[in-house]
Formats: sequence, structure tokens, C-alpha cells
Amino acid sequence: MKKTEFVYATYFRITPEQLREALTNGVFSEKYWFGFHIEVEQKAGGAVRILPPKGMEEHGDHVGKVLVCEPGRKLVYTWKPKDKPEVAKKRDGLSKVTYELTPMGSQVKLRLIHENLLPEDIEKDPNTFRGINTGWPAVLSSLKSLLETGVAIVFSPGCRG
Amino acid sequence: MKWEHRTEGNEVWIQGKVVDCVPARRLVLTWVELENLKDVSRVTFEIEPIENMVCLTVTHDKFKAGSKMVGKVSWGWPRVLSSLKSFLETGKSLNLGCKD
Repeated sequence: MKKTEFVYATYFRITPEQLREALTNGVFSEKYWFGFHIEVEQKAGGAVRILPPKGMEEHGDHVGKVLVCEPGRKLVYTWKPKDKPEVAKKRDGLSKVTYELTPMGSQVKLRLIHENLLPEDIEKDPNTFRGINTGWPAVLSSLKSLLETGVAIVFSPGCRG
Repeated sequence: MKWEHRTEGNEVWIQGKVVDCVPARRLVLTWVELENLKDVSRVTFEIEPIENMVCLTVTHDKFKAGSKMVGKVSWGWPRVLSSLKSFLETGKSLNLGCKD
């Protein structure tokens, strides 16, 4: 059976180096990623630490692993979603997130691939950011605003949570 | 009502009809390339205000079997929407050539 995957592309007017920093630095991620601190150790076998902000502790801490690291070009890491027990039983291994960065003059393309997902990871209700398909566009939209204007999109607690 | 997408040389490239229009909320268009009039598809823009932001959802569907438009718009929409966001938030659109 073909596994579910989510693919998304966004273009930024910044350098690949700025984008790499934004995607791997936890202090930076707190500004655009719903307050989550996401720190990536940039080497194959390195750790990806995901810490929820205050008030969202129910999302739990998570440590993923870097599978591929080509600085400024490609990063692949494992992602462990917080599952309800009935969903956890269906999960066949961890899901995998890939960032592909392609320089385009003074701009950079980010291609995101989130694979080995379950149909349950895709949210049909557009009025929440909980789904893989609704969460990523919100995060990347906020990141683009932050990098291009200096101000991230702030999703207030409970706003479509 | 009709709509047209013209190239920089002012030639019609894509055309169609407005199927539904709720100003600032929803716009539904049919989408036909002039070169292939049978390859009709549909585009829906939905605009939803969230606090001091808006969420734009673009759905391009109802492609005919074997449509060549799927590949073209999969390439195009992310570029157009990224550029639109840059333009609206910074006043400057992106300069995206044909290289990927």
C-alpha cells in the first residue's frame, strides 16, 4: 500500500544560509513555529530536539535523528508524532522530514517532503493546524514573513489549535 | 462572466468563466489553456480572515483524464503564491525564472 506523504514548496527572498539557520536554530524556531524550540545538530546521526512552549506541554518533548545533512542543501530527519493509542498501533516506523534547499539567484526554494505518514495525519478540518497538511503551511508561511519582513505570524494560543 | 490570463506580450494564455464570486471570501473559476480547449479544470480561491491575518486556500481540481495542466500548475502555483505573499508583505514580488 502506498504510504501517505505531504509535499510543499515555498520560495524565499533570502540566502540558503539564512534559511538553513532558521530551520535548525531553536531560538529562531520559537519565533515562527508555534513557539516550539527545534534544535538540529547538523551532522548525520545528530539529534533533533523538539521542545513545546509553556502551556503546550501536552505535546511532549521529542528527539529525532538526523539521517542526511548536506549543509545549505538538504536535511533529512525522523519525526515522531504524538499519537493517540489507536493511531500509534497503526504506525509503521517513524515518519521522515526532508528539506531540500535550491538557490535561485537572490532567492531560495524550499521543498518540504514529509513521508511515511498515516491517513490520520491528514486533517480534513481546515479550521485547525493540528494536521500535517494544515500545520506545515502555517509554519512555513510564518517563517517566510519572519525572514522577509522581520515579523513572524503569531498564532495565538487556541487559535485553530 | 469571463476572465483571462494574458502573457507579458498581451496574448491570452489561460481563459475561463467565473463560476462563483463572493467578494473577499471565495472565487471559483474554470481554467482552460487556449492551446487545448478540451483540457478544462477548476480553480477555487478561499479567503478566510484569522485575527489580523488571512488564510488563502487554493484548490485546483476537476482535471480531465490525462490532463497536462496538472504538472504545469503544480510547478506554477507554489511560485505564484510565494511571490504574491512577498509582494503583499514587502512590496516586492519574487523574480522566479524558469530554472527550478
